[in-house]
Amino acid sequence: MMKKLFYLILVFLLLTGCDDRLEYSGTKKIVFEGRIVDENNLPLNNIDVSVYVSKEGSGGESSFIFGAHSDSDEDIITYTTTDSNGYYRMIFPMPRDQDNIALFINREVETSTHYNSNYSNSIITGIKPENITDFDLNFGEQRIFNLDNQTELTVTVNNIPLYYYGYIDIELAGLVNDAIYDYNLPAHFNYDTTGPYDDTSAHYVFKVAKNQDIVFTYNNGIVNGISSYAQTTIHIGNEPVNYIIEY
Amino acid sequence: MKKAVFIIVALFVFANLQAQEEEEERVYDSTYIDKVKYQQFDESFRVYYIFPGAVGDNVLAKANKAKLGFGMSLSLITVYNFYLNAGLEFSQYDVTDASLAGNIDHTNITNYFGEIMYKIPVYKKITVNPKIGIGYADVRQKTGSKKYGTQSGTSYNAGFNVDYAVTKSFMVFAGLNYSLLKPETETKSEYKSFYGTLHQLNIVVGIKL
Repeated sequence: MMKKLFYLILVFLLLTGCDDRLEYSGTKKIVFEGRIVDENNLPLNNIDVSVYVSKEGSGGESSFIFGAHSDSDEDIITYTTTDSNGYYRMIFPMPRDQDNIALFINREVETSTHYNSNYSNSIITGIKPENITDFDLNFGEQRIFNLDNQTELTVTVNNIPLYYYGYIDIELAGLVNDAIYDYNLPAHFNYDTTGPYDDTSAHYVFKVAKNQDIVFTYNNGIVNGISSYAQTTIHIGNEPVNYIIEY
Repeated sequence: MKKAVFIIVALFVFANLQAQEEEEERVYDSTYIDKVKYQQFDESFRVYYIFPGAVGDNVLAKANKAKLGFGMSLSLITVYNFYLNAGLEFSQYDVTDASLAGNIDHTNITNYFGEIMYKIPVYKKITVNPKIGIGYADVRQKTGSKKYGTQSGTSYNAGFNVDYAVTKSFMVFAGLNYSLLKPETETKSEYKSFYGTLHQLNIVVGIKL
């Protein structure tokens, strides 16, 4: 009798076991909207825009953006293309238990129908429910640039303290390809770092638009437990730029 | 689906109760149409295929394409050619616009309803049966076994069937059903009606036993 009861409970648990999949509210619909323009502020037509939702698994962060695989779940929950005036609007069921919501701009994903390899791409990640007001989030104008106008910016920061192990927080404001911006951080952090590191210098390579000024901000110390930042403006012309900063 | 099966089983049990019939008068003619004056219980059962449709400015009509459906209903009580029926209808749509309905494969609608139908004999073996009713509808979105939420709300239904009596106890029918669905919706105000007021227009064909 006890054995039968045990197996019955076991079957019940297996059938109703934990589900790591994302959950959504069918009742609540969220609106994401905005506009995509180029480096000259001209509207771009037929640019892919999509919304990515993810839930972390037991192994940590979900797979889509960061390339790792775990027992997480993720969705491209909606997608569209910009109209002739560069506007887009997407409406999707509100996720309930997500760890991240991100906006993909001209990013080649499984649902891409008009991925434009002639233009840069970017991701706005870290979007939280509190960023959404009255079920709506308007991203305003986001700029991408024609890759015919792309060049390379290399930034080397020398003489950084050993306790940074060759890595410091940076902020990059400007037209950058493959950029990942965090919606809620006051600074925009680009994770495109490269090695090898010798523990006293940090080395960054960015693909950027020509003929612009990039504002490069970097962590230059901790005062009374609070990080301080230094900032410099790097002018980009038509040629690649190698910029060296002495910490 | 489990809820639907339970309801159908419950309806059958109820319809087969050995209740006392209070039949005042029953007139039979040679064309198989019973002209019933009064009968307390009627056990007729309809099962039908639905060609689902959607009309109007709403997410069902603008961002979905009708796929298939089926329905069933049971007559519970008959009084002077008025029939009290209960049943359910299931309709499936394919999502065609991910920017409005999500990157999701299907929108499934299940409508549990009660209705009053009136039988109008028009020719030897043919009756026209207008009907009106109210119910409860679920709107669920799914891709495979993955669920993307459920909206629920009231359904207001109207339509008609045309029955043809093949034999005294077997009929075929076709009809048109309109349903106004009001699933609960919370969204930006300009889209509330788009997602919260759906209009179904379904063509049905089936058999009555």
